[in-house]
Amino acid sequence: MVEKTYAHAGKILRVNLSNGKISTEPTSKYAEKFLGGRGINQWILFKETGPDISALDPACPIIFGTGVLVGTPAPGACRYNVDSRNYLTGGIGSANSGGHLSPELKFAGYDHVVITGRRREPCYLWINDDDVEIRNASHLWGKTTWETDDMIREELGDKDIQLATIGPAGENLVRGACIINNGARAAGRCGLGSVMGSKHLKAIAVRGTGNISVAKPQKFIKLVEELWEKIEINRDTKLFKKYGTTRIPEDNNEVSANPVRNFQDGYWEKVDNVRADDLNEKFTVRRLACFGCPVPGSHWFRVPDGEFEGTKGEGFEANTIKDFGYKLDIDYWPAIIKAHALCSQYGLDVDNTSGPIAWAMECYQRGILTKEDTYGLELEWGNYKAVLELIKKIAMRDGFGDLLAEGSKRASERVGKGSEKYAMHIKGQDLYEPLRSAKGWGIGVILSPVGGGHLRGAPAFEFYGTVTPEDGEKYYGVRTAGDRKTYEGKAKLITFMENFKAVVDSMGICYLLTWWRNPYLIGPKDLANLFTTATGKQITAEQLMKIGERIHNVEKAFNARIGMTRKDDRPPERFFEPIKSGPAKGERLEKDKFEKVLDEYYELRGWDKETGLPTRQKLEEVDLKEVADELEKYGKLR
Amino acid sequence: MRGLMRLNLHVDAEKCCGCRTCEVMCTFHHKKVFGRKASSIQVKRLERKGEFEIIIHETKEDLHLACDLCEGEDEPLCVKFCPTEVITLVGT
Repeated sequence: MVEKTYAHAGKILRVNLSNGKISTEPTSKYAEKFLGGRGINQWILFKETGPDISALDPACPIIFGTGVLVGTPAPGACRYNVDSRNYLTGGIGSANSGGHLSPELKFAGYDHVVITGRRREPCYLWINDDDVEIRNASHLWGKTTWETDDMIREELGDKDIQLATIGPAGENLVRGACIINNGARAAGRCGLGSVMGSKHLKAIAVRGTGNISVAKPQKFIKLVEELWEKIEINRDTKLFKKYGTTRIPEDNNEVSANPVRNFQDGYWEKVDNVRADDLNEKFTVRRLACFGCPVPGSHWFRVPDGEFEGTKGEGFEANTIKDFGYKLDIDYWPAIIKAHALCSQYGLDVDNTSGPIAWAMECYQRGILTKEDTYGLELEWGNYKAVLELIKKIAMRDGFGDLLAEGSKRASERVGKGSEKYAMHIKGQDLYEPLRSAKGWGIGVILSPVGGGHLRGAPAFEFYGTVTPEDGEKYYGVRTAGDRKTYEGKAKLITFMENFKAVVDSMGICYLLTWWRNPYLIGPKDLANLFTTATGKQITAEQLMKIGERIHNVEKAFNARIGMTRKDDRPPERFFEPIKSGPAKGERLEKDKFEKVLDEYYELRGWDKETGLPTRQKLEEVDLKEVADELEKYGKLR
Repeated sequence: MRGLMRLNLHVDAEKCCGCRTCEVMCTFHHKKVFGRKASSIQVKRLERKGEFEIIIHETKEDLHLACDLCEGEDEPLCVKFCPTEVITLVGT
């Protein structure tokens, strides 16, 4: 008799596109050590690949993972994680998205979907509860994500189908191609759209009509209710319901924390032209939300007139505004909105698309690139017509777009002429985050094993100065947690946030509703209580955080195995130079202090300070002996 | 029917943000599990329009159970868990 599964759907779906083999295995095989979501995804990735299997190798798996709490009304339990090898850095690829796909997959009966192989013809995967089918997608190849969603729903005759789709960018193996669900939600980073593209997998379509059971229904629902209330009364909630994340860029401008003109500055003097209030007033039609969200902060936008009249869709987060506004100097809302819509349709990550464009614009500014190099495009800052043109060209790998489709690191290596120093990337992935005025945030971004990214060790609250020393000590164990200017305690804070996020991603909860923003939202103890009542397996906050540490170590080991070391944990030189203007003018990362934080961080992590490589002692402590053995084989263990 | 007054759910779909929490809460009321097929309320996402249709089953339809206004609860769970106050309980 099969044991009753609580919280988890219970099965992992495995699909080999090469030979069409479809099978399942029980989630319980992995859940005790790695929870679910990102934890199990990353473990499977580490175990079933090696350094010789590239991102686009048919043998490389792409893994979709839901999360322990997904499908329940635990606040924001809507996320899914996609993990594979990173097409930009070569290290771990890990991206996370919300919307409505993840609960649908769980209701269909699956916690994870592991896809390997390559189909001869374009295909899509149709998961309809127990019926799983690989279907021909030749007629969908070349279509945008929006067209693909509509066509699949039409041909399967069900409007409630949820989809993860790639656009032309993924088909054309653009390094910054992403996976889109619900029209605009993106598993954005790491080029995972191209991993799907390389498998000739256009989409995953899901319909689930099953149920998720929890072990202690009444206790669980009481906790859920308390958390919804806790979030409702939180000081940030009112603001968040009004703006979502769209006000973050202008708030960050108050501490010169923006990627202005390819990070040449941190403060944008044109901020008044693209205020969030304007966006709300002129372009926002209504508020939208992911599944199970108590703070609907997304919005439906429509451009009512002008040259982009009729552009509409769901969107967007702070990224789009910083990427196309601040980073490319476009101070015109309709153009930013259009850029977002195009990226969603073509299946391009906004960070990895604006990054190489910003690099090209700076090279143009400095005369390294001219109109002859850009196929006639005039790449002055703020030239939105050229930017919109380039978005399409990148997706199609057309003309100058073919170079930028490689990301700024590779593009700059091809161009040479000193352009390498204007490529703003970490470990090879284009950078979105400002790194200078908030130290824990900046260094947290740099240390992220995905290659940049603020959704790991970087504490969002650091910018706002709202965490008092008492709260810092009480909740994060770091008295200076809320002081953005100090390096003190930040190694410890980053370590804490990294472990916490590994848990959050394995539960399938939205980071925005957690201690990432402030300590009066969802924390480790809340997650432990939810987990205990949902699964019927008693766990403490400390035990959960230890699992988080284990998951983070698996990711670190993946990167170590392919040859990454301490040298890959450093930012571009620009961030050691002072910010030129605004309230945080003069602030920078100081090299000696930065290196000291790295020392402290590796020490806290139990890794080797000199090389940044994992140690047997730590790996065995977190019950990863076989990872230590594997690294030893490659000479990557200290 | 709750108490002496006849009550109904009033729905203002214009305010709906499409989070679909109401569906799983409704199923929870009926079955003590999380899912959608037994739910007395359905949210249809019209994805290309950014709009939603909300259906309330006052009688049993296929697998969807009839709304009983969450008999036994303080208030209907769809009302309680709606983040945008789309659903309200009104007397008729």
